[in-house]
This record gives sequence, C-alpha cells and structure tokens, in this order.
Amino acid sequence: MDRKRIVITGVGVVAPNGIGKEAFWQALKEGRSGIKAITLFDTSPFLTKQAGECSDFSPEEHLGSKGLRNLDRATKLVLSATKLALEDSGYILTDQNRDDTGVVTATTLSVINNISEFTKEAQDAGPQFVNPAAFPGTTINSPSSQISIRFGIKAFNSTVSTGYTASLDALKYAADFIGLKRAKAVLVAGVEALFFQSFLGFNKLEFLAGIKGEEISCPFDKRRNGIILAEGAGAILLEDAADAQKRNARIYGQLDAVKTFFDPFRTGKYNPKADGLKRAMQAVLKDAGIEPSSVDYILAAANSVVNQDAFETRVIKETFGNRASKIPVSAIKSMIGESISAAGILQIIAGIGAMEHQILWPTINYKEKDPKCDLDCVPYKSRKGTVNTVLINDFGPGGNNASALFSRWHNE
Amino acid sequence: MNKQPRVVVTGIGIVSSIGTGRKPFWKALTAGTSGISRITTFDTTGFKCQFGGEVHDFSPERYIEKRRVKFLGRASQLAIAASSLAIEDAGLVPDSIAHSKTAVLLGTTMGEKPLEDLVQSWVKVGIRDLDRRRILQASANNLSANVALYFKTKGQNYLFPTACAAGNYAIGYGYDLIRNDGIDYVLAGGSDAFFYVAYIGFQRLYAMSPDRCQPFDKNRKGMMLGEGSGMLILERLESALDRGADIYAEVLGYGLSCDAFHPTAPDPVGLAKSMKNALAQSGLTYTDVDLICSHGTGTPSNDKAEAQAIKSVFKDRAKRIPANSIKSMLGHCMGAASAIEAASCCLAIKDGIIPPTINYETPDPECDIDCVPNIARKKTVNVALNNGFAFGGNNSCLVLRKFKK
Amino acid sequence: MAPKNFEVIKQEVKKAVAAIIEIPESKLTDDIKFIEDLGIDSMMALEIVASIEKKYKIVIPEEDIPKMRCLRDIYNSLEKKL
Repeated sequence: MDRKRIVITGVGVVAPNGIGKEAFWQALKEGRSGIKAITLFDTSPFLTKQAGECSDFSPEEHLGSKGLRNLDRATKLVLSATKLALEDSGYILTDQNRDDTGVVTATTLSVINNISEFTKEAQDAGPQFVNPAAFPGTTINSPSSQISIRFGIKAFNSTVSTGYTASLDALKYAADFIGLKRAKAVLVAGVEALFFQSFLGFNKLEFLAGIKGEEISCPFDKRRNGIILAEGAGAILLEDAADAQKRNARIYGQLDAVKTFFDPFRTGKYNPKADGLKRAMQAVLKDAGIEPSSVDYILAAANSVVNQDAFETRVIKETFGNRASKIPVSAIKSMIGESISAAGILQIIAGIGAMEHQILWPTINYKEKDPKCDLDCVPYKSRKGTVNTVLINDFGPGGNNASALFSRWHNE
Repeated sequence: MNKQPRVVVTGIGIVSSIGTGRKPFWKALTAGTSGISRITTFDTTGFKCQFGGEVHDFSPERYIEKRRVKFLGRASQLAIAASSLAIEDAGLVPDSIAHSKTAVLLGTTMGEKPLEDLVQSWVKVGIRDLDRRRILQASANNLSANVALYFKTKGQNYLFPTACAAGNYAIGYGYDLIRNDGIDYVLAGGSDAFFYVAYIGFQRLYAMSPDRCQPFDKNRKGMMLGEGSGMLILERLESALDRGADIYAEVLGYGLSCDAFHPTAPDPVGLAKSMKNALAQSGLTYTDVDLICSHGTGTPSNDKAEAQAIKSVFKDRAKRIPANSIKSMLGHCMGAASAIEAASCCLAIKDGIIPPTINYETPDPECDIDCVPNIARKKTVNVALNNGFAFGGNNSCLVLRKFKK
Repeated sequence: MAPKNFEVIKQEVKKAVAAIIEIPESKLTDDIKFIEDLGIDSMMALEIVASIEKKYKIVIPEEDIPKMRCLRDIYNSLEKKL
C-alpha cells in the first residue's frame, strides 16, 4: 500500500460539554463536565440519574427545519458534527470530487432505540400500521447513509460497529482506503445517542456508576465503580497530505499509525493481562517508527471502571517502562462520560486540540489515589505541555482493542 | 517494495435454507431447489406474505460446544457454524487460525436475535424481568466478537452492518488486510437471523412478494425474507500453495460506491459505478466477465435498476453474460446474502456450473438480460462478479477469478 | 359515539399530510399534486398512506396507492371506506 501521509483537515464535534471545536476545547481546558441529570427520558425506574447528555444540542440550528422528521437523534447528532467538520475543513463537495470522497461512520448501539420504537408501534398500532419510513432507521448503516445523502458523498459509505473501538476501527478503515487510493478525502464520524433502552441495559448489567458506589465519572480514582453513559458525535476529515496541501487546507495533524486487535478472553469480561491493548499500543509505535520516548501525551480509554483503568495503567507501564511516569495520561471521559462508539472520535478531536493549543486536558473528579493507577493523570486542572505526539487508546470488556498515534504536521 | 500477496478462497461454510455445508448447499443450489417455506419463527397473521427462507433444521450443538450455545444469539450461532464448516472445508483446524494474523470480519443487517427478544419483552411486559444474558448478547458487535472469541483469533475484528451488501464489505476488506496488513487468514462473511422487524418493514414498503421470489420476471412482486450465514476462508496464496490447499478462486478485488440518493430506492448510476470500480480495481475490463451473480432481489425497483446498470457497464455484451440470482431460491438472506452469493460464485468457477434463477416465467423487456432461467447451466466461468446493493446506497461488487498460477 | 363529520376528517387529513410533507396547510390545496407539484418521493407517499391507514384503521390496497395523487383523491378514497 502506498503509505501516503494522511492528515486531518477538518473537525466537527457535538459533545456533552461543548458543541463545535472551540467550545469543546474550551470546556476541556476549564475542566468543565458535561455530565448532568438526564432530561431526555424519565429516570425514576433507575438508581442512577446522570449521563453525558448533549442538552444544548438543537438539530435545527445545524440542519435547518426540514427533512429531520424521520431521523433519529444519533443521525441528527452525526449530521451536525459532519456539517461542522466540512465547514471547518473548507472542503467543498462538488460534482468533480464527490466520487473521490467517502465516509465511514462508527456507531453500534443507537439503532436499538429505533428497533424499540418500531417494535412498540407494531405492538400498539398493530404491525400492519407501522410507519414504513421508520424501517430504514432500524439498520445500523442508516446514519452513515444519511450523511452521504445530505452532503452528496459518493466514493463509498461504510459503517463500523465494534462498540468501544468503533471510532478507531473506522479511522483505520478510512486511512486504508486513502492509502489504497479509493478516495482522496474520507470523513470519519462516530456517534452514539443517549436513549432509554441503552441506559436500561447498562443499569441492568450494573455497569453504571452509582449502583455500587458514588455516581461519578472518576477515572483512575479509587472510588471508581462504573461508567457514566454518554452520547456525542464527532467527525474529522482525513485527506491525503498532497491533496490537502494542493488546496491550501489547514492541517491539524497527521495520522502516524492505527492498529486494532481482538483479545479472545471471555464475553463481557476484561482479560487481566490486557494482551490485546498491549499488542495494539506496541504495534502502533512500531508502525509509526517511533520510540516510546517520543510519545508526549496519552488520551486514555480509562472510563471509571475498576478493571479498565487499572489494566490500561499497567499496559502503559509495560509499554513505556521507566518513562511511563513522565507521560501525562488524561482521561477525558471524566468530563464527557463513556460514549462507546463515539468515544474514539471525541478523543481524537481532544488530541487535535491538545496539539493545537499545547495543552494537557485534565482528569477531573480525581480525589483518592489508587496505587494501581499511579500515572500522571493531569489531575484536577489542565496545564500547559509539549504535545507533538498523542497516543489514543480504546478498549472495553469483550475483546476489541485499538490504539492510534497522531502527531503535529511536519511539512517535508 | 514487497510485491503484494495474492488472495485466494480456500474454505467455504454455509448454513442456508437449502442445505448446511458446502456440498449439500451446492447440490441443492444447482438443482434449483427452493428454500422457501411457511414461516414458523413468528405469527404472520394478517400479513400478505406467509412464506420465507427460514433455516429449519439447524442444530447449533452439531457445530458449537454445547455449554456455549445458550450464550450465543442465533445470528452468532449461524456464523460460528458456518465458520467452523469453512475452516474444516479449508483443510484447517481452529488452532491454525488462533493467532494475531487472522482477521475476523462479519457483515449483518439486523444484528443479534436476542435484541429482538429483549425489545419484545420490554414492549409487552416492561422493564422488570429483562434477561441479563440477553442484554449482554443484544448489541450487534457481539456477532463479530463471538466468532473471534470462539476461534480465539487475535487480529482485526470488524462488524459491517452495511445490510444487504455487508458480506461483500467484509470479504472485500479481508482481501485488503491480507494484501496490505500482513494478515495470513481471514474468516469473512455474513450472518442474519429471521427478524420480525425486517419482515414487517419490507412489507410496509410493499417490497415483499406474497409467496415466491421471481428476479427479473415481468410479474415479480418483490423479495422474500431469508436467513443464514456464509463464511469464507481467505488466505495468502503462498500459504495455500505451501500446505497444498484446494483453491476455489482468487479474489481479484472489489468496488464500492455510494448513491447518495435515497434511503431505500436504488440509483442505477451508483450500481453501475460499483461494478466499474470493481473492474478497475481488479485490472479487468467489461469484456473479461463470464458471470454476474446479481443482487436480484425480485423487487420491481432493484431488478430494473440493476439490469440498467448491467447494460450500461457491459454494453454490447450485457445480454450475453449470465446474470443469475440465487435469491430466487434462498430469498434475501440480508447480511449473509452477498457472502453466500460470493461462495456460489467460487463454486461456479470451480465446477463450471451456473446456478439458475428459478421461478422465471415471463421475460421483462426492462430486464432483458440472461438470468439463466430455471435450469443450471454448464459453462466455464473464469471471472465472476458478485453484486450486493443495500439500502442507503451501500453498493458493492466483488470480483472472483479462476485461480491460475 | 357519533361518526365524525367528514369535514372534520378532511381537516385532520390535511393537517397530517401537511406535517409529513412539511409545508404550511395553506399551501396544501385539494388538487395540488404530491409528486408532480410538491416533489415528494416514494417513501413520503407511503408514509402518507400509512398515516391515513393507521388513523382511520383502514387498509388502502396497494394498487390504489398510485391513484392518491392529491388530497382530493385521499378524501374520495376515505369517504368510500368510512
């Protein structure tokens, strides 16, 4: 494969603590959490009440008032993020470049809301009276298709649904397609919406914070006892560096490497050895051709789950050896919660912001130290830092692990 | 720079309404056997269509360790069974692929069956008694994870929910990974179980025939819903030759395109582009193709658009290239469809037999292509194209060729 | 319960159809054609039919759907069925 240099030229984000890149980065800088009491649905059946809800999100503001009727929340979130990314990139879609532009979307769970609504209507009104326009939304490829329709993207449109690693997996797919010259520009988007059924499911599985302990997202902290579920959407425009330069695009950074591995341990359980994550991180460093000592900053997958945060810490130490204690490792899920398929894209956008502003985002809610998570998690407040390279991790229980490395753009 | 490895298909595993296992499946397919029967999975009262391509005789315990079966939804069971058959068919054992140079790539439309059970339980009874095991199994990513978990693979693991084209997306990306990522084996394909939501949805779109699927026929009334799984073993050529494996066909490449038009209606221009992209990616021209395994769902709109697309790509040859649809026999197996169809292309190439499009009675001047009506045809097939076109403009076309050194 | 005045039903239908097509009710005259004049697509047409079927618990045969080209056609069809 032609190892083209792949760069990011546009960024769009709808996060629980900020809409648009400036607001998002400002919120991260101030350590402002987007986690709050849920307003989207009634939480009285549940012990837990909070989530990372994009409560300020108004679809009409971004998408106009027409044509939104049959679109679910996830689709509206990701269409908005994509619109922001395209505007940010200055990349104008025309009949000359549509066939060279693709989109890959990471999303896994949000379809469950649509399947539930469809089934409910079948039950309530009778299956013979279900609205036909509700059917296309019951397949997971629907949001990505809507992106392609709204913006006229014709090279290809794919969807990746691998849960926690979906965004990074989609990133790899997109980068591969650019490297293979199947497209010159690819939008990588990620989205999960907050909805009753997923909150219910995570509650029943007791995976949420607030059931066995305090309802708080406190990665690396001793009190951590589960995730705070969140929603969000992000989109980045990936381009071949030569094409980006040709159109004088503003280049945020380059993608050095992205790797994904499966770790076959047990359904829904973490492998205590975290082999998969280790493999992913080491493969990324090897593929990027950089020494561990050249990694300035890590945006962790840490999400306030006891095992997740501990295992990631251990793997970071095993990978970076003595240097591990000197690398800042931020857990932005302390502020934005765990948005599963969207986590990766939000981490990527946070990483870009860190490089843009030479700043390390904080891990908030950090109060009680845990010897198993004793890295520099940039506790309480953001601080200035040298950020030339950022490593991003994503994983969860169930086997998927992914890692990606970005660095500041070097014009050669 | 290292020359990129060639990619071949060395194993085929199928669970379908007309047979489980490559041999029974191919025998039934070439005999023009219909897998359509009266639906038993759910209550069909009040609906026009009472028939579908259910897999009636599937015993998961035959292919999956008994104690694990209850932790797997039906789509996962079908996929693991088909994978197991494919591994065996390739002359491999699970240990051969239990490492980090094996990728597992699945395609699906509706995801995991426990989700449907869960949702129905929630709708009818409420949130009190939801089954924890089902919750864990509900999300679609379980499908690809379960297959990788079962065979202990450690390479890439993807789930492509690109609906009716998903199998091609999976197989195509598997081809990419072997060529570019140093992967040795790919277990790729698709799986879908019989879903009530799909059954209702297609009928509400008036896209479903009441009794049979008649692709390209003038009086075709629509698709039939099916289920099943098709899994292929893709392998580096050197590896296959080294171990003396039987090679079904070589994967030459694939083409994707996106209509960017409508959530459900197909655009012939987009369909044509995926075929053109596929040919270009594979270094072929339209004169090189001997068989098109069409998407051929039997809906008025798909078949017309597809025939138009075929004619625009293949020009003067269009009416002479066999373009069959095995959905006439299996119904539309959703995420498994294009994978099962890819398998049928491999077998057509290997055996020189093209399965028929059954139920063909009246030619349609708008679909004036050679759909291999009703009876299988002996013919040398060097190059086959496998079309998969999904809702939302997810178009794909896979290119397979007879292996020659 | 007394059967609804058909004028009331016509108003309900007009409101529902206008909401689906996303145009003001004032623009939705009885004879303006859905496809030719308002540019709706096949999915929206199905949605309109489905909403009428659901609301009034009737079934509009598939063959009749292409005949529903404007509001007046819907009114006529409904009047026969109700």
